[in-house]
Amino acid sequence: MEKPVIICVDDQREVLAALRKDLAGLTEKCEIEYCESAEEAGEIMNALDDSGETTALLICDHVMPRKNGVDFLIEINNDARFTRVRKLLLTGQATHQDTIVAINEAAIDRYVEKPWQAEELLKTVKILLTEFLLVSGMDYQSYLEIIDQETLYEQLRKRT
Amino acid sequence: MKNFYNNLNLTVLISAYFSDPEKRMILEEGMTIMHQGEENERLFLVLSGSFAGYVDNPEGDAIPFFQLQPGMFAGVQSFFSRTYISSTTIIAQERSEVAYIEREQQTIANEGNESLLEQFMPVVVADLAYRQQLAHTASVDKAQTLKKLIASEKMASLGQMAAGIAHELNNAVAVLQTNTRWLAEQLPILIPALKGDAKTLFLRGLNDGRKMSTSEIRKRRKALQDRWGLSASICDKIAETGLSDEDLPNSPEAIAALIDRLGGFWEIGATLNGMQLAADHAAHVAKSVKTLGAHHSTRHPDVDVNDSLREAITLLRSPLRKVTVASELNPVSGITANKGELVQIWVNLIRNACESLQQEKTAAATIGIRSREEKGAIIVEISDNGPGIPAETLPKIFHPDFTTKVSGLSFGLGLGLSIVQRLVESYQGNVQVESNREKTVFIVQLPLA
Repeated sequence: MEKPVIICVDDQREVLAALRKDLAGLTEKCEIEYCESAEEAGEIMNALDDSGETTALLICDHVMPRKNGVDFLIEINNDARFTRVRKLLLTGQATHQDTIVAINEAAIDRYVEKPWQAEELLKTVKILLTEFLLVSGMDYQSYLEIIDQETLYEQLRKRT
Repeated sequence: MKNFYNNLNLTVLISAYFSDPEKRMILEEGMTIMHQGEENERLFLVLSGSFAGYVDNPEGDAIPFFQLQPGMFAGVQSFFSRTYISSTTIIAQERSEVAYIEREQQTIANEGNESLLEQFMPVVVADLAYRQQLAHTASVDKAQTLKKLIASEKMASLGQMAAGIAHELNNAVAVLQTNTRWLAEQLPILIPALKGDAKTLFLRGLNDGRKMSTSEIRKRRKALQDRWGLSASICDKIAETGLSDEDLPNSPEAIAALIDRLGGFWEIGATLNGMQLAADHAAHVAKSVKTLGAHHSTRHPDVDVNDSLREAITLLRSPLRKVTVASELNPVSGITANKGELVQIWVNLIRNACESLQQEKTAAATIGIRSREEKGAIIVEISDNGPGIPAETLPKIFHPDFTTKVSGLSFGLGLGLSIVQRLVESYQGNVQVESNREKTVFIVQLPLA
């Protein structure tokens, strides 16, 4: 069974370690990659795409050295290979203007503020994974552990 | 102040009108030749000494307005406007001598057949020009003073607020810092399972933290998966701990069992390490913020600026390890200062230089530190060969909310340079910055007196 891939990007290892703990419950059904920079994440997404694997969700910090999160998300949003990738901006330091750009130009799906609550983050991640599975036409039955039921029903109801 | 009389040739005029020995006066220091608002029917020429002109403001204070030197006239306005009422009060600053003419003065015959007023026209114009220049300078001064006052009030209130926040923050951080340290110490004592290899792994996490980068972890995970055929999550865990092949048993089952049994202990150690790191950083930030609102600390005479520079370099030993430091500390006179404040100025400037070099990954990164004495001031230059500060950001760098630092735990609050400026200004000194693509120099000037 194909495992959807979640990519977490943050320049602080302590933050990545915290994400690792909070997302531990998803590792059965997902592959999770951790990256310390936008460049590293870009390389991994390219490599995954080359080997025919799918990036399902990108969880990205905003303020990072060199390329910032919003700029990276804009790039991904404009890349035809990654149109289905769900995008979550996870940050404690975005201005009003950054946020507007993130929504308008990077078309982010969710915005979660640091410090985050584990349950809220997990719920948000599940919602986005569910959306991804449905949009990609994957068999959601095999991924019930990582699916958000409400989102599933709602999306299915909309289809009928 | 430009003297408008210097360019006039008044010899003829002066010898014609001001050579009557009867119409001369000696004034002792503090004596007045005319009072604002009172009658004055004379035109004075200052022969020796000096006078100051005052105007009364509405509160009744006498504000010094102009200075009169020998060769200058007093009473021009009241005399030639024919109001004969003085607009200023003029007081001798020392024993001075004046010559004068009076209201009834008759025109003295001259070549051009000019009237008295025509002959004195250049004097009247020079006097008006002088007063206008004074008014102009005064209004510029006023605008500058006002600007400074507003800026310093802004800083003062920001400082007070910052100190308040820092205080609150420090209380919270202190609790986190102390408790994290306590947990790290007590866990191996209180938890019976934390002994032997469990303790070794716990301590490894606690002391080294998360030293593996994400790309190193990925590489190691791949190698472990290829060799042992273990799951990605188990291989990830091994990779994170940094355990080498020699540290691991020789079968996939044994490795999986080991990580299952001990991985958690490493994680606890590394987590405590991360908490300590974050708490230390928060404490450092709170401390920097606090200095922004701090009042003057005690200053002592004869502080050696070079000593303070050496101390700053020692403090920054670890970040400076990655760059070349070219220091040229020339002997300078001692100044009255608080050494800690000086060190803080240099630490902020040097750390800034370091961080910009690192962030831009400058090749052959070099920081220059130079001190010298020049024209009654000590001059310290901190330079780096980084890519420079863009012209459009240059005017903003001293603002308290400006930052270019974005990376990880060492991200900047943008307070560094505003602290530097505040401290340097408290020594009546100034900070300048020059920057181009090859080099950026911060020049701090500290007056000796």
